[in-house]
Amino acid sequence: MMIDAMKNTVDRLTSHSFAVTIISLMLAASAAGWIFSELIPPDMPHRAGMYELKWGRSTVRIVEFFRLYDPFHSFWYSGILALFSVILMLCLIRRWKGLIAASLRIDPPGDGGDLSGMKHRFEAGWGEFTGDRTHAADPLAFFERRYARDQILREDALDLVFGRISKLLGRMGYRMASDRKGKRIAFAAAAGRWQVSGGFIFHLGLLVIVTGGVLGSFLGSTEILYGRPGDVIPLQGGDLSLVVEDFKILMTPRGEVEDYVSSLSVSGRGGDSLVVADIEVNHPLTFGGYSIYQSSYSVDESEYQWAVVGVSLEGYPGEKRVRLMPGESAVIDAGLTIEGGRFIPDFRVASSGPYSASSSMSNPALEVEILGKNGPERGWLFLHHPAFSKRFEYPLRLRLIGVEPVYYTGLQVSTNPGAPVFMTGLLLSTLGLLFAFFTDRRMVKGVVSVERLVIAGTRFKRGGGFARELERIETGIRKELYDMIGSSMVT
Amino acid sequence: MNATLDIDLFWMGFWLFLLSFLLYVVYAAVRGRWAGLAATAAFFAAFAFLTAGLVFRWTISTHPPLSNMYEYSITMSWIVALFFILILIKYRRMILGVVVSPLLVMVLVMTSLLPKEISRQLMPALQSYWFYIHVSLAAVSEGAFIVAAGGGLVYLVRGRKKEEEDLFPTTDFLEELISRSIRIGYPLFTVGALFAGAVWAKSAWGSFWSWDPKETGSLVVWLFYTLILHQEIRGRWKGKKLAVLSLAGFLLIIISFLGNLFLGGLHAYI
Repeated sequence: MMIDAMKNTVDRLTSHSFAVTIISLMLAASAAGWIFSELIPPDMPHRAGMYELKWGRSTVRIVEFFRLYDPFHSFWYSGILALFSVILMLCLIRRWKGLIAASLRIDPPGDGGDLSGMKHRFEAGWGEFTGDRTHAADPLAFFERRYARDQILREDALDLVFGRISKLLGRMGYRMASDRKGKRIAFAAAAGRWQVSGGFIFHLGLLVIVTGGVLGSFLGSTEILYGRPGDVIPLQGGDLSLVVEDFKILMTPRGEVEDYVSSLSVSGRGGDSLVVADIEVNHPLTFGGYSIYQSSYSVDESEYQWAVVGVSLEGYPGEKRVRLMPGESAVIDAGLTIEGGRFIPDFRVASSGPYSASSSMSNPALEVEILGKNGPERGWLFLHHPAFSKRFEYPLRLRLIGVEPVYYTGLQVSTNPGAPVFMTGLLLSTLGLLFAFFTDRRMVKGVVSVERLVIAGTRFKRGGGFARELERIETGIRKELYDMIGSSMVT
Repeated sequence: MNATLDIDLFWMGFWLFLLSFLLYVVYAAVRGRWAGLAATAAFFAAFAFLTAGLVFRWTISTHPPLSNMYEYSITMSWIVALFFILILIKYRRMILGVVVSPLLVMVLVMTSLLPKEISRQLMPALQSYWFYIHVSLAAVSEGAFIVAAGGGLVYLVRGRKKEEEDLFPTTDFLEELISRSIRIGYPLFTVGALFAGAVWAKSAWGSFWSWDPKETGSLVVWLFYTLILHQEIRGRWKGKKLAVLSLAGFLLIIISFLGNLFLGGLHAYI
């Protein structure tokens, strides 16, 4: 009784209706997660106090409990995904034999001949295949064939006739199975059989994908590392280190970013270089279980490589360009020098003074010092907002023309032991889809007996009729057998 | 070559598609063959202009027109129009224009509101052969889903008119159109949008799946059509229900597509 109850439960869990329920649940959960992840910022837990004032304490508690700021890593979504995987696995275990067998096995019709219920069929007596075909135009011959006693095929000709039919169907892509009993050969022929197992392979692939994803999620790691040329960065969990040899931002002549390229080497414990490579976006380096991606870049928030300042001296025409190197001064005019000071890539001002709001070149500013006979004078020059640059007491105007920051390359270093499993799942699922959706499964069943020939067929495709296919088969059989069956084969 | 010629061609195509839609409505109302012929002629002319615009854009930008939302939706519209032309050639019934043209015009209106600047340089993240595979298959599959939605719209509009007396396609035909379109779109969407996208994400961003808004939206669309197919296999969700659901699927696709504009994320290319 316990076993029966378990069997009933498994039957219910692996039914189509329950599959629909699970898919609906996944859909609802994914849609809810999609909405919540966009409404609630991921850093909400770090600013809970602010959100409590905004939403109220109970709302914040609900959000935290259900992890609505990161719903796809919450217990409820993981639970639904786990349930989906378990049900999928049960369905596959329960159905695999039947589906694989349906792909491999072809069952000829039994003694009862299960052809009567098939919509597309044709029948012919052997008399239709004998005689001169020109008699088809003779009404007397026509009625004789139709209403006279059917001609009987000799038993020893049965195999010959079946062989011809078999070859014809083979040429049309069908695979045969037959069963001879006395004066009768029953056969079944199938084409596109892999469609049946296409669904199975696709679902199996999905399960493998989920497995790969879970493996990667639990056993994999990711870290973002920043380094400038010359930096040596040890990699987590091993003896390897990453050496940043160079980093370049390639620009087109029109000033658009073409690519980011990091020249790296991976060194072992003793500092020996194990591999050297240039990595770009979409072209990672894979070595020693690590994958290293060109992920991003940033700029140093205080250093720069060089700057170019335009200097216009009162009473002199034109603008002079002066190149500034960090820590060095340059002569503007007799008794007048300029020196570069602090550099801020994204200039903002707070009560404590200027600072960089980010490591991107959103509002580059360079502090310069002019030294002349009246003493030093400092001020900020802004690359994107020259109108806000300092107006010096000295009789000159300065303009920041360009500044080259010190770039850091941003590298993502990942390990993912689930990646091969995931990829296998993708391939399996793709194969399954090709079989399920792009294979034309047809079945032909027939009985060749000494009295007559009966052939019926069906196509397992929504909206796919078999009439035209049956017409082709009938035409082919008639052609084969007209040429073959002579009056000596029938009585 | 005039850098804005592709945009001029888009606008010419847009107005002609709008004209063809109005003429198809007139054809459906008055049953006059002249209206059907005019509508179909306008449709073909619009398709020609859209094609020319895409070719020019491709030539000017030196990459397939798939790198931002404007290019993607224009390409998707072109695919929807191509599907209609193929359906027209197969079934030779002009009234099928009412299936496709309303949703096509809707997509084009949305497209017209998007920024249209050409970027001659593909950003580094898009410089991969997966760009061509992933984005083009996603566009073709979503085009097929839009054709399904068009069938759904006509199914609902035609109501209970008597099958044999009507200019409109029969409900059986429309149901078959919806089902077949979904069965064309589904495997292409699965392989192109999800699988190819995941493989590309691994090589570009280091992770097969990041729960980016676009990725999550695509998953929701995929689960929705998975549900429809499962119910179809069971013999449920036929007829009017299927028609309504095909329109709901179209809505999901639009939300997922426009989500980029508002939600940001790794797919936020405009």
